[in-house]
Amino acid sequence: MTDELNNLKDIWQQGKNDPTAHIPTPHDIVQKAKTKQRKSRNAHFTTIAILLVTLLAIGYYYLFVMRYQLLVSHIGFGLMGTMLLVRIVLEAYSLKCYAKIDIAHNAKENLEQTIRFVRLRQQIHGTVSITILVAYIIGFVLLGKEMYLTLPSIFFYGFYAMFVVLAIVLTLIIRKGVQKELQHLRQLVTLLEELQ
Amino acid sequence: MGHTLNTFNSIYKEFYPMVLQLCTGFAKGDKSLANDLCQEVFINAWNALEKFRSQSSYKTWLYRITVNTCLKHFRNQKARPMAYIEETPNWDKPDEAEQASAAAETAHHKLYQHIGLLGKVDRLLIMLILDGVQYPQIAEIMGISEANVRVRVHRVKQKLKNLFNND
Repeated sequence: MTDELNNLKDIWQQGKNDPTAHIPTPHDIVQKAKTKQRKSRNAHFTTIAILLVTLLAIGYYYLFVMRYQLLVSHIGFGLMGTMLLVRIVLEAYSLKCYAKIDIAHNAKENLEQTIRFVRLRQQIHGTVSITILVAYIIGFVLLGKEMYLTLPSIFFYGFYAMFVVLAIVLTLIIRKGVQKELQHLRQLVTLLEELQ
Repeated sequence: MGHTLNTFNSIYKEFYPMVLQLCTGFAKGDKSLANDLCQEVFINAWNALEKFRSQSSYKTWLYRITVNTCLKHFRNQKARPMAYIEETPNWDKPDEAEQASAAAETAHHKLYQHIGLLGKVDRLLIMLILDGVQYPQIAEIMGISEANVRVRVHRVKQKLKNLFNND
């Protein structure tokens, strides 16, 4: 086997001298790295910014435009606002956890770190998102009484219809997200088992 | 930043062929995928360079990044044809240099093909061996014991031997 292995090593080493290989310049790579980092950072901050703006807009609308009085409405709004805040905090926490994954660690540790992160994302996409959605629905229903008293019927029923559609769409998105994370997790766990 | 850029440039120039070769082996000879993976490795290396603490050599550090980048590459792989060399018709009798070059390409193609039949982890292990990495270093890169590496490499060598013998 030693001669055969040495022969394979020779073939392998010769493969490094490929005259047809196009080698991008280090400058190209650095530019791509910076662009990728910037895009990733912007995507995360945009998500957080949108959630924050939504929270502020809903808060402004509730407190200064509609000025609902009933306790049940305050509870409903409080529930929805809190859940939105929870979502923002989770997004920021997720970003912090992702940054801790060290690509230069040994393979086993890197895989373990990644699996921990994907499990966290799975929980966020799964249990937490469903809890947040249910809380939104309950909050919206609690707001319903005062909305019915203050809004014209067409707006009231329009809001509810839109909310039902949104709830269904969000449920489907959450389900798809959970399945994707689960598949990713399975692939990573299989790799870790293969490694150990 | 200037120091980081200079360091990156010298790492890049020194180790690009090594990384590309590992990525090509991992990609079963698919040069397009290999180039993408190689690029991703160096992007990861650039992002990780500031955290480098000289606890290992740059080469070992880059091996770890290459292994991790390849391992975590998941794609919905439709049946991709193995990279092959299209031979343009040459009606002249091939000279010795051309024959040698064609033979070498076939040998590479066969090697990538057989390595490609191994699992991801075994593929990476044997490629590190072919690259001349020693067992203790491989153990450090993979995060497993040296004994484990030896056993696995022995098994992989047997598998490869059978694959080549069945050709």
